[in-house]
Amino acid sequence: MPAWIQSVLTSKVTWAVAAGVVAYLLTLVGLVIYTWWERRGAALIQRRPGPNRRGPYGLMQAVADAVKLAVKEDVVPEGASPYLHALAPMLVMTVALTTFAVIPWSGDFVLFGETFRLQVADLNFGILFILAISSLAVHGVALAGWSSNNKYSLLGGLRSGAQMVSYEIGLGLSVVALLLIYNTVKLDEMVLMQTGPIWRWGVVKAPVAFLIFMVASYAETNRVPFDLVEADSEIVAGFHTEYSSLRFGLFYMGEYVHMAVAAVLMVILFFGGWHIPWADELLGSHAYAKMFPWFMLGIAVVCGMIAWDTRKPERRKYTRGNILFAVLLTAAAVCMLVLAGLYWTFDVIEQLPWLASISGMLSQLMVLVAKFLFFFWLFIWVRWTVPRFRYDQLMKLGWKVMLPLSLVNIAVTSVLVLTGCLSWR
Amino acid sequence: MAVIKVNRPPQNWWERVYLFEIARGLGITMKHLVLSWFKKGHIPTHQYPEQKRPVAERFRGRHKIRRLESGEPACVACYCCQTICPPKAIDIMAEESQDPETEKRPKSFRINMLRCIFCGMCVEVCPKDAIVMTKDYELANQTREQLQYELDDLIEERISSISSNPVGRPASR
Repeated sequence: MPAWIQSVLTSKVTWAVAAGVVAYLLTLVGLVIYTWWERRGAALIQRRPGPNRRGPYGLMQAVADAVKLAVKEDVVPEGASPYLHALAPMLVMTVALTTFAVIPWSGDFVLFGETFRLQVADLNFGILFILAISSLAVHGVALAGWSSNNKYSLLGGLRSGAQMVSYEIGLGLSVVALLLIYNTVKLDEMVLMQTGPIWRWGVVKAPVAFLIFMVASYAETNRVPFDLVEADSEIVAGFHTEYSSLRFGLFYMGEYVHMAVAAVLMVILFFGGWHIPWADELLGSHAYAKMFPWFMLGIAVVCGMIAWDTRKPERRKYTRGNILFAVLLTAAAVCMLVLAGLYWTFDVIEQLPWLASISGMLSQLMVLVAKFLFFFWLFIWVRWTVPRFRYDQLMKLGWKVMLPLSLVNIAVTSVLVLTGCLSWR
Repeated sequence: MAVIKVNRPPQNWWERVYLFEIARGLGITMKHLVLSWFKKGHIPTHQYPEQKRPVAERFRGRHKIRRLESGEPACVACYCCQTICPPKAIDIMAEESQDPETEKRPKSFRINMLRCIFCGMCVEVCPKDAIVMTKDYELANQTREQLQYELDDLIEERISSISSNPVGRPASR
């Protein structure tokens, strides 16, 4: 192998950039999929087809929406503070994206004797960083409401500010119970403690903390059943009434990025991160590297099935670009098959240890992303199932139920930890 | 303003915890999602431009003016429809007819489709059954001018010759 490839592979910068690219793929590029997913899922739950015209399966719908937003006029209301009005959406988006810096996307892997991890910044106060940064989002929301020079926006901003501040407490206190169990604040160490059997997972050790965390993160992201900030059907949009064009688009994207952060955190804190239960026990050393070709096979099968599905007459009738889509998917499937075949024929795990550790890292990433997608889907699923809370019910739930419950949870958890019932070893 | 007292059935513990009921609701929505995706006919919507719903037997769509066997428009320019038209959408100019049997014929016959309310009173009042309504409802167009239907646009053959949208470009696709 040329020396320069080795020096690139053994540079911490490479893997930090790679982690950044993963974060961007999952948020900004993934947004195209998420908006389509949300609208299509909503439609199917409500027994209608949903966006199915632009591109195969309507996948290009989000691109069309983005173009529509981008070419709209950007209106700043009269009397609004132009700088603060412009700052608010940036703040929301920046804050949401910054939290991805400390997310570990894979476990440690060894390349040429050095250890790396797919993580942008390995801060030793990981979860605290996320809590601190994500609580800044409330400033963006309140600022947007206030700088618009519109009393309805202001009321909307205050309403959502109150909601986010109230639920931050439940969120933080549910994490405290986890810190007692894991005895660390570093996210990667938390995931490492969930290795092995499924009862090591956080959700088994702290189910109440998981419930509180989930409900509070639904409230933090302003999603149904706590979306009184926006409340599409009753009031006009709340704090972002006076935003148009891409600034509105930033708020819209910010919501999805917040959802992505919450979903990743649920996976990492409670659902074992990149771990598959009993993987190491069953497959021995290099468990994830051994899984890699099987994952490739699985992806190839899924791609092939979707490509086959585009042949259906109704797909061809209502959408264009099906043939291109099918060809691309087939090409991807063939590439995956070839990759898996090469992986087995050349016995990569024995012959090329560096490639084995990279592929192990990739399959850990795939496991994490699969879990992440499930929790993202849970956000959408809950949105089209549960009716919205009234404001007094929201406050009652936040202060009279979640807060005492999380305090009791901390007390019970600390007793259990001290008596050794929840020992992570 | 009296206060309306609603007697709601008391909730048991299971329902008040709410989470179990949410789980049941999630099951219901997932059932619908799976059925919509896999079961044919679970989605009751129509894919409109491709799939058109049948209209009622006496549907009142756009007008047409019938021809006599000689080929002349059946209209005798009696101004009955113009007089009765509630939104004053019809505008007729008469001229002397070449046919000795009839007195007048329309020189121009214009219906402003932007004003028309499709009430069908012109059809009811017409003494010669010259104006009738069709089942055509795809009348969208690009400009106001294109929606002033002239005699040529309204006459029978023009309508029966495929185009549902005579003046503007054909409706989407």
